[in-house]
Amino acid sequence: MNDFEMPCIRCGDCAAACPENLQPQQLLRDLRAGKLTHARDHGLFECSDCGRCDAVGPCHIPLLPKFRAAMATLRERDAQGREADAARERFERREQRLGREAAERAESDAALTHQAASTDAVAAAIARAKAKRQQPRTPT
Amino acid sequence: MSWARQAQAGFTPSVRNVPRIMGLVLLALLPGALARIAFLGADVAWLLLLAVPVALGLEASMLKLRGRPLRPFLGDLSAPLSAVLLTLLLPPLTPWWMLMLGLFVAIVLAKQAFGGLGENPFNPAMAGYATLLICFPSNFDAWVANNPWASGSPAWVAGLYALGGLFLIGKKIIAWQTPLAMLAAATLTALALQLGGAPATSFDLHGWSLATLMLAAFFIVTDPVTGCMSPRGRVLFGAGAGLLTVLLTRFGATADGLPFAVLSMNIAAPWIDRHTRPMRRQQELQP
Repeated sequence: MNDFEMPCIRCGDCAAACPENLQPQQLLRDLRAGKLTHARDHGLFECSDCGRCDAVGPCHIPLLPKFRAAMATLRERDAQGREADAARERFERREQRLGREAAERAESDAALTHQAASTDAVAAAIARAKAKRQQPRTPT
Repeated sequence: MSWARQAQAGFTPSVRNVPRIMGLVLLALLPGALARIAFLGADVAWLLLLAVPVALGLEASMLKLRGRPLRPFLGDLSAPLSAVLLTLLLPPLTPWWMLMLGLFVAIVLAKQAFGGLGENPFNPAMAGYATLLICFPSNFDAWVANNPWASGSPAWVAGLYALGGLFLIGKKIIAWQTPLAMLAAATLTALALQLGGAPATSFDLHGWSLATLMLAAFFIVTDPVTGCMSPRGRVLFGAGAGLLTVLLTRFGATADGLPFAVLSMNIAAPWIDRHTRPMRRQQELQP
């Protein structure tokens, strides 16, 4: 193979040969522009791997190998995306759980503080103490 | 990238190739070009003999400047083809420096500056031709006025161009849609103008105009790089070029409307292609 990219003259022979009615020259354009998602929109994954475009094309650009590589890259990128999504979801759930636990703890602490600080509680304690004191001491 | 290299292991290139395509187009031009030389004299031949090496030299220096390999890109014969097409459109007494300017615009500005073969949005020969028509109108007006073919005599230069074109269609080098659409649209427009009482024009389906029309329909609008790719798009491209050629020749300021028609359609080509893209099989299966 040549080290440089051979030019595409857009003769359309590849498109005429494609059994999936794809536009291989358009896919090539997308890939050369680095726009893999455009290639996906133009039906890259409908390619059935037959290689007829390579068999007819006069420009000797290895189309099928390029399409395979692009599909592999896209699949890899998708898998990475899914992993990242899963990790993010895990992280968000943990954050939620930690937040919820902190909130619950804060709530119970607040309840105890409130109990300890409220005048009712103090009055009740004083009443209890008084009642205790007024009880006749039982001789021991 | 190692994966790319490995992935190319199963790649078997086609027996068809670009030099063969361009070479066959040049071969198909030969009878018409020889007839033109026979009718208009040796000047045409001298221009052709000058144009081809100059075009190759311009192409080579631009490839050098762009750091591209010379051998595959000079050998693809696309520069000589552009040079021959441009020269066949120029009046036989065109000065040599004018031809060179046209070639410079065609090869250096319209083709290599955009990235070379396959990347040029405009037909190189038409860009060169348009520049010369605008810059040196007298060169062309004089030719139209003193046209030895104006009496409608040897229309068979046109016939030989058409024959070459039919050979290319038979060889599946060019698609039939574009020339047919252009010829039909140009004929209908010219007829409509004549029925509408427009005075005779330089485009009256006789003489040199017919040869230009045949050259345009079979060899110029059929350029795959700057034209449309889908079958329906090719019909629209050819029809638009035919319509505009007649209208611009009749009502335009220059002696020949062809380059402006083709360049206009070059601008429209990507848009036409986008809207005439055939359905993919999977799209047909699941509407």
